[in-house]
Amino acid sequence: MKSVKEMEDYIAKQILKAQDEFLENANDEIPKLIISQISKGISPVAGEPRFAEYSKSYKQQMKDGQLDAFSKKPRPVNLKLTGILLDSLVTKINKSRGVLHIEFTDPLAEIHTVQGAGKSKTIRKMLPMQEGEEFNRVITQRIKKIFKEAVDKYLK
Amino acid sequence: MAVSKVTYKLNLNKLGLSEISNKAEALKEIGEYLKTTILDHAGDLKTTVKGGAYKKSLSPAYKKFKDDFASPVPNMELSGDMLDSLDYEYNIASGTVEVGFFDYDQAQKADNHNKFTTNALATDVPARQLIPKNGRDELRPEILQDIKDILDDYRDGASGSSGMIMDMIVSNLSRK
Repeated sequence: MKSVKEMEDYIAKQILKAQDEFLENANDEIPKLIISQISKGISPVAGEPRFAEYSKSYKQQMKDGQLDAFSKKPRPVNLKLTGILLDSLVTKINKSRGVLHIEFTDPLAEIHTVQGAGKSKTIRKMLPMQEGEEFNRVITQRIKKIFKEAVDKYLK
Repeated sequence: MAVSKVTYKLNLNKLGLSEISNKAEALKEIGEYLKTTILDHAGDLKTTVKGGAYKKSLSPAYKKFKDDFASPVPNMELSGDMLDSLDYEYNIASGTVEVGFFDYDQAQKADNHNKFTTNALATDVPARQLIPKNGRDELRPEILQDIKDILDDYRDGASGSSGMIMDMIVSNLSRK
């Protein structure tokens, strides 16, 4: 028969295994989901799910053919011109802290998400960066599923 | 006769809402989830309707026309006005969430694709069912499961938000 201490140690190890698996699987799936949603004009951040439309002047540039080299269209508002911004998504797992860090390294991401783009300072949130912000419900549900799968695997 | 709105009303009492104390938050979260998932499906050229129709190609003529304004794929987005108008309402007393197109003009476009009325059925606009029609259709099982999971989170006394997950991850997990 196992002692209480042995049981506690076993459970602690299983929790850590579940946490590690959750972080790795979330790292595999969530960044792809974020890019997929942005590409469809959907903000990954809870609140208003659709990105605000592009400015009149930017749309005029598209109409005038100035952005034809990039095949840029007014819709969907997918924040993609060269692709550099969306390609700048990087992730890092910190297992000791139990954290998955997700970041767009391109400075344009902060402009869209926090400062606002163009003269009108239009906000298009690419990641939940401010206090109290969360991922949208579709991403949240996916995170919960990944978490539950990891817990079920090691702690059921 | 034109429709006044094109919406789908989901009764959450049938899924256990009555056992939840914070009904308003749960209904709001389900409304947000439905709105986002409908947009997500449209972007993937998929219907949210179980066994529903979604034509995944455009006619050559319309594709050429659309290419001047938007991505030339059937993602229900030309000007963007219809998808921008997608919204939801919830009612605590009836335990329902209603999601869809409440704006009159946008509802006509939505009807043409969702085929809610005989008028819409008579048009040659291809069926792309963004939302189910009450009494005729159901949501896809995986969407219904997500909704049940959201309700379960509230039933267990949790906050229902993603904050719960992160709290669980970071608590009591210091490594030796």
